[in-house]
Amino acid sequence: MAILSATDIVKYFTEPVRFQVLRGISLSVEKGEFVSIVGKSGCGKSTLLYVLSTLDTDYEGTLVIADTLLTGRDQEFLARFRGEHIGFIFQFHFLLQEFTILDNVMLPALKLGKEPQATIHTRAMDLLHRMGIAEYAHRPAKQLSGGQQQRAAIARALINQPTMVIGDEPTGNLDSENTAIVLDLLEAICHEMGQTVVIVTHDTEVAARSDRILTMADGKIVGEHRTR
Amino acid sequence: MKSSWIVYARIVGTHLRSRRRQTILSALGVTLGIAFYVAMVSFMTGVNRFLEDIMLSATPHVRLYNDVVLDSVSIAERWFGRSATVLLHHPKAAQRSRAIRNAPEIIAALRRQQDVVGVSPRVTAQMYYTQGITEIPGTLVGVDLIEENKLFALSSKVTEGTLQAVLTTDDGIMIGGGLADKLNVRVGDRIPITLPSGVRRSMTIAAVMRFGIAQIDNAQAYTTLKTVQRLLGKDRRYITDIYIKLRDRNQAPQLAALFARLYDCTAEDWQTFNATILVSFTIRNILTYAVSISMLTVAGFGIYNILTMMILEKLKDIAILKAMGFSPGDIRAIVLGQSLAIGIAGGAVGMMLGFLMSLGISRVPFRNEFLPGMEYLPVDFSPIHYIVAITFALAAAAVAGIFPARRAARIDPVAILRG
Ligand SMILES: Nc1ncnc2c1ncn2[C@@H]1O[C@H](COP(=O)(O)OP(=O)(O)O)[C@@H](O)[C@H]1O
Ligand SMILES: [Mg+2]
Repeated sequence: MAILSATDIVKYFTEPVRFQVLRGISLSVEKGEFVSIVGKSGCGKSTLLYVLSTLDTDYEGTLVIADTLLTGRDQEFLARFRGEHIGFIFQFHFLLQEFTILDNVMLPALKLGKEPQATIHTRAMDLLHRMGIAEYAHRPAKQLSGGQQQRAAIARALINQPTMVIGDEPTGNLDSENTAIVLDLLEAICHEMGQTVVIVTHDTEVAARSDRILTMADGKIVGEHRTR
Repeated sequence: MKSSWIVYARIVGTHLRSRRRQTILSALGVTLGIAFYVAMVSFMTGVNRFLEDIMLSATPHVRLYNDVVLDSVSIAERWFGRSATVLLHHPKAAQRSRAIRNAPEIIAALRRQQDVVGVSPRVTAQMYYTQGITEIPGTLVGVDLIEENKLFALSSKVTEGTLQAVLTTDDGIMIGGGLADKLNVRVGDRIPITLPSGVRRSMTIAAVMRFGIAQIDNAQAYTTLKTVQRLLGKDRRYITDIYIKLRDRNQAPQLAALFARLYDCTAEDWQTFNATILVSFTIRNILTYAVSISMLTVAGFGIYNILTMMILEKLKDIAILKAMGFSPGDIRAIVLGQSLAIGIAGGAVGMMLGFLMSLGISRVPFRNEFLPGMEYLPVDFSPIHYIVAITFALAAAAVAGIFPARRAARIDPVAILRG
């Protein structure tokens, strides 16, 4: 059963000149699947992820996630949907710099407001432990290194146990040891929790750990490769 | 929903703390506006109250008298009918008595009225005070001194002599302070007076009074009802004015109309015969509000500035929040929350500062012989000024926050997160 299905996604940029970044992308991802997207820099991977994560609404085609049609929905609806179903890991670790690491991780869950604060706190601390940064929980984000912030951002993406985790080079800032930790965790949530992961990566070893590799070139998906 | 507010508050607090100096500065703008408003309006209201009290200490809520009217036209109309054209040359007021008809009965009836707390009859007579060859026009007022004292705290206006002495001295009068200065007389002196009828009498000054109202202090002298009635050659039923104090002075216009109908005489409420003073109150209030609103407008711009700056600085944060599930409405609430937080904090400190300033003003000694009873500048400490002040602060903050809040809500997260 497809948890995500995108049909004929087309997107143009008009600045500085009009050009087509995404040229009719269709893709379907199964529940519990771990998919990675590879391709040359500038081929439109990040652009595609912003569309899939509902942040970018300026596209043609249709997007359905968890049996919900997301194309043409208003911002209020999409915000609520993102909070509940999508955990996003940005290419550059984007934390709220003035907030503590723990607050950063807890905030999406507090906003969603589905569980008591104590439950959220426990799960946040558990995620920080797994990411190996629990000792920095009460430090403001700006005092941490790039790699540490990246790991906190991954913990934040997982806090609401989202239907889908979407990551734009989530391991780009990490050394091999931490990359392994993150991959173990992503693999675990797919295969044990039934969550779905779609990431963009440059790292062939990272791609090799996923269930399926999609290759993009020039705004199109040009290749597909199952690893198992 | 409730958990949303806790999250908003958390974000508002953290963002404001990260911009501590500007936050404090913009809150200070609100503080000054509010403090100034509270101090000004408390002082102005204090002054207005004080003057109103002085005014009402000497004037009744309703005054009954017999107006000298030209009603000859209506008489002619009654005779010839309304349709006829009546031309009257030089109509003159009929020689009617100034006395109120059936005054003792009216007084008795008024005293039984629920809304009336006191009734004081008086007889006034125009006359001249003579001093050497100068003659100063003035009014001799015959009053029931005991009743009058109850209603208008007469003894508190006595600056020399005593009220008791007026009652016990033969032909004793209590003379207005300004008049006493002009005539250069003091308690114990005798002063000749002349009535329009030609009657002359030598009166004894038993007391000097100061109301702080020029019309009284510079022209009037009080004595007993009987003394004036005797001077005019009238009996005890001769009463020219009835002064009435009401339980609720705001009811005066309605009750005046009622009394005029019931007792067939002219009735005037205090609002009417003090209209000019009431206008000056209004003007003072308008001034206070105008100055305070301008100050709050400046404060509002301060808030607007810091919010605009903060949004530009926190573009990334706003984009992240949106990506994490915060809707445009949430972002709007957060920015508006920041604005209101500045308004509330600045307003609260402003109210405290305003209170201290009011307290300071109320401690400034201010004595003036024309304003008896005033020792310090008058200040009104009603909570209503504080309620209005904080409402103003919140309104200024809301107006200042609304546009930055809407701008923040419209930010496109993708454009910012791409870097
Ligand atoms: N806001 C934008 N306006 C115009 N062109 C853009 C914008 N963002 C990205 N691009 C261009 O779109 C193309 C695809 O970008 P992107 O999706 O970031 O590629 P990738 O993530 O695969 O490196 C690039 O050529 C980039 O220069
Ligand atoms: Mg990219």
